[in-house]
Amino acid sequence: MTIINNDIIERCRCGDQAAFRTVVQAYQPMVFTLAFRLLCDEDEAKDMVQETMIRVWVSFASFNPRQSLRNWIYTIAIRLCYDRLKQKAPLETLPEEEEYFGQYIADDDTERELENHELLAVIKTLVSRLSPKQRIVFTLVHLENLGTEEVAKITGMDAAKIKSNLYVARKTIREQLKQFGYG
Amino acid sequence: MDKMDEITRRLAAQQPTLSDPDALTDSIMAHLPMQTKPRGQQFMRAVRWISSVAAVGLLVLFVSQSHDLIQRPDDVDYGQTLQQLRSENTQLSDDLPPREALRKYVELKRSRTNISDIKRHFSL
Repeated sequence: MTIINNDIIERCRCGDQAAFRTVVQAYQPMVFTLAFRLLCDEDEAKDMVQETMIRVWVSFASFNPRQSLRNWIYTIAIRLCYDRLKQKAPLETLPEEEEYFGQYIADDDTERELENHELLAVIKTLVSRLSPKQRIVFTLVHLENLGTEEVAKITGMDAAKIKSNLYVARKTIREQLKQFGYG
Repeated sequence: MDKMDEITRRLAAQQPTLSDPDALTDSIMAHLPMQTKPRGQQFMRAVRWISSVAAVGLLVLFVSQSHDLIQRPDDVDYGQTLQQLRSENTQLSDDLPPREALRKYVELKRSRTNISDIKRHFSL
């Protein structure tokens, strides 16, 4: 990954588009992965990368160079995804996606690399019964490995709300796994 | 480790593949709008503008007040005012010596009070 130094950041703050291209190239995979996991849609995830990067560009002049650029972009992306999640219709899984999910959880080869559509089918089936709040908390804590404090800071929810949403999310997923024979 | 934790651990290690990242970068670069000024600068500009207006306002207030302050006591028509007060209430001449009444009048006049305030002050 390209290292974004202070010179590039300063040039971006001054409106240098060539410098900003470097930032986009460095961070678009991170934003894509996050949006893919949260929105469960590849095209929407690409749209979200574009929306996030445009937001980053527009507000770059207000970025404090003493803070982490990665965390700043990451926070912007999560907030945009969260807003999109709240507007989206509930996830509906296809029978073949549920079938693939069943195969995935029964698979002993835990190291196998999944294709995008396979990964999507698994994540989608796993979180399909969760509310937007439960989904964002579960994804950030379990798939993005963020701590409760970080999630609170980014989403604006308090720690108690995060814990209760996480509890319900885990309970719902466990119940779903029971239907697949894993109690 | 239970099944749910095992699945989430496996999923966390899996990254989706971004197909054609260069095309996405080009698309982003083609849609970049104008950058906005940082909030700090906008705030400081607003503070400067408000300070300037306040300074001008204070200057105008100071000049108008100074005009009253530099008014000499001789300019004040004591006789007429005292006469007006006396004509409206005869108690004034009995209860308050004219010199004292005039002195208080000048004080009140300087503090921009009007005749009704003076009357109120004297309980007329």
